[in-house]
Amino acid sequence: MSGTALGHGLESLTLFTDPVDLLAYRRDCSVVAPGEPELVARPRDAEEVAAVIARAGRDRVPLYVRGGGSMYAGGVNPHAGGIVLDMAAMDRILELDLARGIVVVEPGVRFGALLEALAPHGQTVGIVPLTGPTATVGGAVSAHALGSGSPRHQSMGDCVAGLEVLLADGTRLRTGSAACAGAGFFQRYCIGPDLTGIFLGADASFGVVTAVALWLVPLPAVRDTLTLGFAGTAAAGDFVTAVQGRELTRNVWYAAGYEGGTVRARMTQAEPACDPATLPGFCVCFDLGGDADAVAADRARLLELAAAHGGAEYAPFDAVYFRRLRYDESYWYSFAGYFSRSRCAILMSSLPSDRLAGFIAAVDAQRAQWSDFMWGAAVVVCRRGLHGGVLVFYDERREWETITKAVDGAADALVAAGCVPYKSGKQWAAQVREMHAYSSVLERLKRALDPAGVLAPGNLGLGHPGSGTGSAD
Amino acid sequence: MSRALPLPAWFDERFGADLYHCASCNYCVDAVWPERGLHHVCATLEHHSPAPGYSGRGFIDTARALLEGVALDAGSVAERVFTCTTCGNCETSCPIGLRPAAIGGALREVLSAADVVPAPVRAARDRIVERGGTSEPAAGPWQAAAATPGDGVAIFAGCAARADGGAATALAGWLAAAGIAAAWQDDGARCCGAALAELGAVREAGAWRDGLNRGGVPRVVLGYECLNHLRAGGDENASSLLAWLDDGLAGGRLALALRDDVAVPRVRLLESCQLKPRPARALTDDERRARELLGGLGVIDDAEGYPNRHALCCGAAGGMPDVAPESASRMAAARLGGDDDALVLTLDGRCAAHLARSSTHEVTDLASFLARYTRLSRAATGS
Ligand SMILES: Cc1cc2nc3c(=O)[nH]c(=O)nc-3n(C[C@H](O)[C@H](O)[C@H](O)COP(=O)(O)OP(=O)(O)OC[C@H]3O[C@@H](n4cnc5c(N)ncnc54)[C@H](O)[C@@H]3O)c2cc1C
Ligand code: SF4
Ligand code: SF4
Repeated sequence: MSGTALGHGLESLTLFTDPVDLLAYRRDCSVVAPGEPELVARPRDAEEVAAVIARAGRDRVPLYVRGGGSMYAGGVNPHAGGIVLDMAAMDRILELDLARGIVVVEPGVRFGALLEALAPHGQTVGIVPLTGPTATVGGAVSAHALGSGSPRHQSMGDCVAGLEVLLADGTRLRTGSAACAGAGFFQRYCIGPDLTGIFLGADASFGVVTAVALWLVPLPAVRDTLTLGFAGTAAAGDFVTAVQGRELTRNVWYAAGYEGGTVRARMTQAEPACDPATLPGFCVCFDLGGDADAVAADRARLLELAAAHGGAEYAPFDAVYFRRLRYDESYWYSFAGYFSRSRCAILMSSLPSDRLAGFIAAVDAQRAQWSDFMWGAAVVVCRRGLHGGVLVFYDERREWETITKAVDGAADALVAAGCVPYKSGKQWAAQVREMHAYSSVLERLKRALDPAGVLAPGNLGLGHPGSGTGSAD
Repeated sequence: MSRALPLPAWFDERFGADLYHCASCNYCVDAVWPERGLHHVCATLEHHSPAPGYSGRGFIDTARALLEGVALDAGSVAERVFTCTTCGNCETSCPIGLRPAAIGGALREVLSAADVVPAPVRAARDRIVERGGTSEPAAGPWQAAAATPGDGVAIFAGCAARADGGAATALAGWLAAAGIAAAWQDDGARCCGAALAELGAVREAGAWRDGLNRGGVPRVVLGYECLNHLRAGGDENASSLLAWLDDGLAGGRLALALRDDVAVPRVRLLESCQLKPRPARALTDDERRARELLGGLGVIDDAEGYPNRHALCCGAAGGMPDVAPESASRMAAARLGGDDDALVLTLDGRCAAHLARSSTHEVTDLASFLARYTRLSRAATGS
């Protein structure tokens, strides 16, 4: 169906059908194949979202949802065509309740705008992705963001007090305490099973998020960074496991681990005269925040624990990279590094901290197999376990065919090494389908909530041909 | 109708790396990044249409599609790339230093060569060609034959000596009161072609620029758009009024003070997009100079706090007032904000004229401001 025909009945909305405008909606930052949307709708409120969902359901047209479009797993790519809902115009902060410690926002609010609004109140939110200037809260919830806050809170879903979601049949569902009329958002798991979780990290497979309630977190009074160097990955993994076991992450706002190659690259770039043989084989970096006493005490305890694992402070890497990443150039610097070649494919998985060495070994094996690409590995420390990021730098013009194969191969290798798909989108669809019991329950949920299979077909491996869930076309 | 619009080889040579380097991160479309003073990016998206084809990223996506032979409606492409203020916010906010605004400009050039130009742009260009500049020349001292500068100052007034010629007239009086001879170059109001270049007529604009008398003389160029155009053509002798003044003050040859016979109002300094440090442009240091100069005179009290480097464009440039006049007015109103009664000072005369046209605020350009509120003199001890 043409975009214009699809737009019949939706004329009061902001719609885009011109192919020049649709180009921007074909893909996110990933190497997942782009799609070809026919129509983009940019709703201003939940009623307009409902109108688009109804339209998609009536004509069984696939409907994809997009926030900032910065995901790296293809969740926004409309590979079955159809309609894309661009949520960016739903960008109001609906409620700021300092007494309850809750902020309720529309899904299109960008983290940059949210943090700016909260700062005068001395508040922030639990998780902020590094892409904060453009990433939306709705996108972060639906892609299950991580980043600043992961050591304290784990991931985005752990910071959500409840959601408002529009389902395929038009039901407007409020989750958490807000399910009870008049109670408002303040807690999860009150009534029984908490339905919020079905929509967290769901990549729009089960509904469209139209409001998000987040718990507020006071801004720390003092911040400080600490970088610790270890001889190798195994010692660093044991150290991180010990840190988590002692709950030493309570005052850590961000923590990441960098393999020796990354440390070498950053150090020799900043100080060409430095002797690579003297550099640590792995660095674990902490961004601490809290009361001055607590930060000082945790810093001392981290140093002590590192020493027990053969590690020690390695301030040079802190100065040339980590501190800049966290303070001076924050988001900017990470982008500049990531895209130093042409573009960078990012594959994110979860792993237990004691598997750090296995994760790095799996990346090394890919590195050897696909030596034309530049590979990098880094981990984000969570409250428990790690998020392991694999970065593959490639030339978008010449290497598109091979990069997709390399990344798909890396995904298989990571699962074989005991890692778990994270931010699944379409990138991890094949691996999710291999988890038979889990994916069959996902499929049954999908059939119940979206029987026509119009919502984001392909994401989470659902709605693909032969899956049994409704086919969109 | 959709058709392949082939891009010439120079396009790929100049911009191919940008097209394949773009990370689709959307910082140039919309971003809020308080630490860097970024509160939304693109005036066209905010005040004309939110369709991404109008954004910096849109230009990159479009150019890449064209390079790969995708058939797009050339009229749609033209409508989008010609409805851009050329402000460059998309470039200054790109985290990896790509040049979406310059790519938009290059697309204008390609579309012009293919004769796919929106009617208002064509009409605006015709008017410029007919008048020999952006508006009719004004009468003033610049019409006298150019003298050699001696220890005075050579000036290329360009558009500032057209329409009411206010800025050039003010400058002439200010210099004369200081006993500084002004040697007006190129018949005073000759057009350097910058406005044509901006509208995609790059070849014609180059010819107009080449027709100017450069004469190897250092000279002050009043409009920043003209200055950027002349510099882009390799004219090393072109500099700004602020640079000349700064140089004279720093070298002890000139002295500047507030006039004691006129009350100086509270001033709000707005940046001009032409001064943005963009990858495709020679940097000008005038934003800093203006803040230091005006801060030193006590005219602005928060010299560090503004202007805002990423403020949304006022809509004066890029042909916006011709292509989409209502959007251009909305941009101006949004740029000026509520009912702050401070005198709005913008370094570029074109922004000042557009802002004044579109609002009830009192707005002035730098030359007019200096002439009205300051006294320039040759320093007694100057070397
Ligand atoms: C260089 C780089 C660095 C990154 N760093 C981080 C990082 O530190 N931490 C991190 O977590 N991520 C990171 N990301 C990935 C991405 O920026 C984040 O996941 C971000 O939170 C996505 O937000 P978005 O608004 O761009 O979502 P989008 O990309 O637009 O969408 C993400 C998913 O959510 C779905 N969705 C969006 N809005 C809704 C809605 N209202 N209802 C239902 N579904 C919806 C989409 O369909 C898609 O599946 C990075 C990406 C890049 C390219
Ligand atoms: S130059 Fe300015 S108006 Fe044009 S696309 Fe870039 S930000 Fe928008
Ligand atoms: S041009 Fe720069 S800011 Fe815009 S999408 Fe591409 S990489 Fe991002």
